[in-house]
Amino acid sequence: MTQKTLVIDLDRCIGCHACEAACKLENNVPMGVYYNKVLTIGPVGKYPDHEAVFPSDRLPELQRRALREGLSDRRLL
Amino acid sequence: MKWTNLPYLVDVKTKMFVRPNELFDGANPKEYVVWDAKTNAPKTMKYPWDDALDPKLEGTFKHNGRTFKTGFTMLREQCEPYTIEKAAEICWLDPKKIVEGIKIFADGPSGLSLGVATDQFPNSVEAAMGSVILNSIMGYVEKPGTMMQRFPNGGTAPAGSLAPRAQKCLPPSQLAKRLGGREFKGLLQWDAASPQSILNAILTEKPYPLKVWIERSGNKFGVLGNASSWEPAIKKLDFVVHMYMYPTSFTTYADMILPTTEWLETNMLIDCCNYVFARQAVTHTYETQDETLIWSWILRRCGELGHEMCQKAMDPEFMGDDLPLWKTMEELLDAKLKRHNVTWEEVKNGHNPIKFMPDDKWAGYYVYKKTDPKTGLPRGFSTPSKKLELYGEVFINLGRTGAPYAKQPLAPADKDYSPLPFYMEPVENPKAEIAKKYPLVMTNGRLPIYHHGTLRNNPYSREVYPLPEIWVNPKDAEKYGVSHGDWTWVENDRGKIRAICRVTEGIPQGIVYQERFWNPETLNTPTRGWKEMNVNVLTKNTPPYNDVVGTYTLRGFQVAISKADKGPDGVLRKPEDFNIWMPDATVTESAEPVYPTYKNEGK
Repeated sequence: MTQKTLVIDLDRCIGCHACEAACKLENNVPMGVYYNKVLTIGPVGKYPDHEAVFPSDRLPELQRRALREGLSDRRLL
Repeated sequence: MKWTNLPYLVDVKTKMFVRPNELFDGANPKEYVVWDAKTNAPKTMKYPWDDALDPKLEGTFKHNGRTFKTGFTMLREQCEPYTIEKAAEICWLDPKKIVEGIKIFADGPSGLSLGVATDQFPNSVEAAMGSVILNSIMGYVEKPGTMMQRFPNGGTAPAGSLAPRAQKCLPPSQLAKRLGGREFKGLLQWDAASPQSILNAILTEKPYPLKVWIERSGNKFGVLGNASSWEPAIKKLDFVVHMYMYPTSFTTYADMILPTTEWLETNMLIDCCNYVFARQAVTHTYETQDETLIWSWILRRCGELGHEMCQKAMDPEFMGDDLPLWKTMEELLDAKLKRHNVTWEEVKNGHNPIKFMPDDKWAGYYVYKKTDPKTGLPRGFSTPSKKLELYGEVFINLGRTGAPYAKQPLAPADKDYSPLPFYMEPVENPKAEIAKKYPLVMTNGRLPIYHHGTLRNNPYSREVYPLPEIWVNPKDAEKYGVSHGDWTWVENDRGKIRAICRVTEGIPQGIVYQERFWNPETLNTPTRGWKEMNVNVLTKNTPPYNDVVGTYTLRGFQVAISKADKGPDGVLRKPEDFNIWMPDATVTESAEPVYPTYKNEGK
């Protein structure tokens, strides 16, 4: 079976959710069910020095936790 | 210095440029005057530049009882009160950050580009003037890596429209009657009227009553400022038509609906770089037509019924270079492709896209320096002086006569437009009296999930972002007793709406943000889908207006927030709720629309 991988640069993602909607439409996924849900983590920090990322929930839980706990380390993921 | 009009002398009394014929007998009135340092006297500056002269860039000069200043001095004096500290105070910024920004810009090549934020405010044209001035004085013009460029364009669909402008079909006496056309002459460049002038004309029947409204955009009640002010107006009209892809709040006021095609159902030409692309229909659902055809068919029918200008508009001889009223999309597309010597059929069958110019020729920089074969001089810019007109005498002329947009001189606007940009504090602001009642500044703007007023009936978009949020800083949330996820009232003197509270550091203290929204699920209730959660119920469409184009206050006005016990009746929030809009359309057999036939073709 072919294995496909999504490579997403979280430093470039603006959280438009288009990948989430496209996936649902293409795979005929009903409302309330998700193959690829885009999460919003952040913004953390105090205005105006803060950051946010929009990872897919396909990202393993451990990495998501790392994101939540310290965003500036996300490049290490 | 050499490519702007800033060294030219301005008469401080009239604010107009001094012309050579005012000073020297028989001199050319179309040229400009500089102050020559060598002779300490005014001299005519020949285009493009006279090396024999040593023009002063700055200075105030007395000559025969008149006072002249250079355009640069006029600009400098306009800017002088706005020190970095003052700008930081106005903009709520850290002066150090401004300096950092200036350094990045000055290191260049750079470019300042404006989004619609400033358009949604009375100070709109001035913001655009400011960015052009900054780009220009830094020399960021037609230079690689800068934003002010003059790359050639395929020219098939200017401003995204295939329809010919056909200006000759508007008689001169009609142009003078365009609502808002005298006050806001900048609108003439888009052949537009001003919304508030239309609203006043409907309500007061002055300068004349309006009876019919044919609308071709989505939901006017979702996007017009102070939406509630339009309800008495639309109810006063005799006949309302909505020409659109699906029902919106506006449709609920309509006497007639003309269903139009979605963009995936239309054939269209797209100009992009040195290419013209044929965007082709890929499907066709339900009984709909391309709106470009509907307009032409309405006008053809008016001609049949005896309207003189509509009859002329069907006559190829009268229309000359413009296409006479078309019956099919192919006619229109072919007419647009004529300049590239192809037909729509040929483009579809293998010539898509059309490359009308080689890459290296297309990306031509420094167009202003290229020699004009007619004069042997540099081409310059498309302005009266052929220079970058940073001192905007053109704005004064526009306000007085309508030049260069109007075909004939129009009556002057109530006051002269300013030749230089200026700053205007929002009328509603945290220091104003109104802030005692409504302490928070509201701004708005779009999210990536939606586009303008569309997609609120798209299940996939609504699932991601079901209802509009109001973004509140944690400190404000505490102060006004709202918490994350709460239903929240948002109000001012213009109305009261609800939103879902999002407590976030993404917005500074003292400011709230809310996305414009309407609720297609409540169209058939008394709210008609626009009164529950629509931030445009709160926006301001009363003065001040922009002097040149009449923009009003869609951002930067005051509101108050408080906790609400529940949400509006009937609004949808859960993912499963949006099943009502899941696609179920049957694709019709042909993507080609069916054309009606006409009795009296031609004249």
